[in-house]
Amino acid sequence: MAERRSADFRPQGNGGDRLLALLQLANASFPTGAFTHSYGFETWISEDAVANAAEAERRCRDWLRFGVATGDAIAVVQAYRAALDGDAEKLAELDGLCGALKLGRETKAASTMTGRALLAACRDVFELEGMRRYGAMMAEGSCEGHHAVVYGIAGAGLALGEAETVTSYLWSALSNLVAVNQRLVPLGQVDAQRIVAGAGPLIDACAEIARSRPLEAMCSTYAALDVAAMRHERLPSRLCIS
Amino acid sequence: MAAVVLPHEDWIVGKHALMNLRAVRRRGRTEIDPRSWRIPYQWQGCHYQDHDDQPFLLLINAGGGFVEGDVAELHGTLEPETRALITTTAASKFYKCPDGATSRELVAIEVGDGATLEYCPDESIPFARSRVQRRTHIALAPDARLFATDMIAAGRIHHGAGEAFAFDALDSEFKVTVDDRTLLLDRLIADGPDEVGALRRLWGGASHAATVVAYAQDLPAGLEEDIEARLATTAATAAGASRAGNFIVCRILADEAWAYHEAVFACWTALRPAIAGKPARPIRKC
Repeated sequence: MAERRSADFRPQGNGGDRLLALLQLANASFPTGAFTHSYGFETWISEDAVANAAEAERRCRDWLRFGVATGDAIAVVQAYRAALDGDAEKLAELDGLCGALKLGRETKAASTMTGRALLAACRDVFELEGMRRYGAMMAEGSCEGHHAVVYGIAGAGLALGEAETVTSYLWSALSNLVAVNQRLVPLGQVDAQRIVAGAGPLIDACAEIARSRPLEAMCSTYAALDVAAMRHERLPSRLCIS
Repeated sequence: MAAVVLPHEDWIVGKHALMNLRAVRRRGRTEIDPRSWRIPYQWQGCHYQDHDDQPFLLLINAGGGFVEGDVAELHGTLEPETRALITTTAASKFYKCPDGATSRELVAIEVGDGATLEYCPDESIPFARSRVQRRTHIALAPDARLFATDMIAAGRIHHGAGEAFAFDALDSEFKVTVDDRTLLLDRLIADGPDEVGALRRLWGGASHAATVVAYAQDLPAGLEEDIEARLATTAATAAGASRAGNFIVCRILADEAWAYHEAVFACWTALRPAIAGKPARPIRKC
């Protein structure tokens, strides 16, 4: 059984300024590689199922509400709490859940690729001890490094609040996917930013869902996107990894 | 081997079905023993449709469907080196739950080393105003082999003016573990009109969804491409296949029940030779 060592994941902050740490963590230029993943949207775009701003917005919002809020965002909240508790066993369980809930190979890989990149960046930029500990768990084989779990640990390590952590996760997830759509559909910059700005109330609602639902209710119900993500593996021409 | 689950004294006779099964090697073939059962599950034995050592079990729920609050539990163990195909005689129909109670269908099957399970139940149909909980948990030993399907209709699609996505709540979980490590957790939770109503969009306008999984340590290369090519010839509205190591998952969406049955059979056609060493065949149920 994994040990509980709360000191490993304790809040360290970022020189005392939580806001700056939050802005840096959620910034699109923070090196996670999220901008290379469409999670299946590229399949839809290649088939012209998503060909304008309205359709991109509708599907991005559905993905956030029915894929992320009830799925990875719950893992972010639970990982944040587990990190504060120093509960390494719980973190490993969450990591396993994040992988099992993703049906397609590329979707799983997107989660671990961005998770490992986030871990490395947080470890090297913020020098978070929690990241070193989690990296050690990955090296031991007890977890794969899924993005949502790493983000929750980072939020706890940077002394962010739980609401800040999950809200910024949801905002980042949406704005990254909108940016991918912006490149592929394509959308204008104003259209893209309008989609993100218009999602404010939805992001708040999604954060509430993620904070209030139990782990046993963690799910992802966007079956049509599952199919698109699977078919992306064999898409003849592609710009995104997933 | 899983322990026999015994009825609780609170279970109402006729409203809580229970079946405990154990597949064993005997007389040069696999035989399935009913270790205990309770109505409305009925035991009528197995038969050998492939004329070999593999029994086909048609699970019979004499209740005909799930009235509000009904429960059905199937617990099975396939001992090492056995093989069995388990299906149902008809779809699991979940009727309306006007008083807010939940109807539940629970399946837990353990598959030992060297054993093969083909689990192909008919679909679940949540009627208007039903509240449904489904659990299908398949626990594999590392050297086990699996082909399994999970099919859900949005309701009685052609009943009257149509009754799709009219249920009150659906909490469905299809889980596969290997050596206690969870490979798949296909969980669908929709509670209330907003979440249930959104499913039509989330299923891409389709009214039937299926998940097909296959596991074996020696799945040949390129199988997922073969499956996807076969799926493209069916009437499914959208379908895909993905492989991670020794595990293949297929997701199928369709407008009509016959179309996702056709697509599931296409998957089985591609997978059965690799999983069970023989071709797929229409399963006779009467």
